[in-house]
Amino acid sequence: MTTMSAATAHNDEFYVRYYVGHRGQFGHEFLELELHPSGKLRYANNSNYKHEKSMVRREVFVGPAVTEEFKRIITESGITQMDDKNWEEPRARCQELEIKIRNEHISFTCPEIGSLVDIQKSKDPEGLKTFYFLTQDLKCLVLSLINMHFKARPI
Amino acid sequence: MQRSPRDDNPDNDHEAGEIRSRHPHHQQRTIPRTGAVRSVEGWVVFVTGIHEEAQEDDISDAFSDHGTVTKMQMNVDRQTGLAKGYALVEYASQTEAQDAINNLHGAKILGKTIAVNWAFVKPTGYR
Repeated sequence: MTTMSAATAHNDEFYVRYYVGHRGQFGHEFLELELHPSGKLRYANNSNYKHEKSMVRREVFVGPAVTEEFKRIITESGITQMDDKNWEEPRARCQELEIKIRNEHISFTCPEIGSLVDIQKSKDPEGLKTFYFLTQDLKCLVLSLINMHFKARPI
Repeated sequence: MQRSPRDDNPDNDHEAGEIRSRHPHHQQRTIPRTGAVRSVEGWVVFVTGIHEEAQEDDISDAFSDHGTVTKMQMNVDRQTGLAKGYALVEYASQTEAQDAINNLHGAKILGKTIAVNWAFVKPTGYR
């Protein structure tokens, strides 16, 4: 019985991590967001643009309703039905998406997607389109949460 | 609706209050509630179940009935341009935010039932 309930608890654990970045003339520029099963939301954004190091790291605990909304957005996107085997390998520019939801676990990587034109020309336009819009929706949600919690209005 | 005197102290981020809406599913809520925390300029509630054709005005009108909305963010789906389904609404005081939760959780906007909960909470026990 203990094993069963532990397995159930494990299956209910939800985790998502998205990373996009590259190393270039402005150093390691990246954006990363992560939501832990505990509700801890982490956000990091780093750039060395024009030699000015700017690193933003934020962490806040979100309520269960927020976690449920992440799950809903991810489930409705259909990303867990996709497969990255036909996606290009990331080179200098890289995106990583890892999701653990119910008993599904995906870990996808691909190069940065410039635009929908790049997607149309690829071997798996449906998969990449799903990835592209989901990551945009996730970034949007995380940025709204982080800004609402941490950013004061300018005077 | 009884309001505890502690609700009026803005520095008091005690346990979030009971949901007093008439929504039938409340009795079955099993998601545990932890204490809400204040954001940099106020108290933020998280609204979900928003109808895809809802406009920002639909949300701000409903939420302005329970206090002065100081900030609001309602995002759109990046592919369709329609409402994504959630919004963040900020009030200056915890009392106003709690009032919005108590009255609007389970309410309908454009015929669809919304949920209203605290956006940000105290750290939970594990990592």
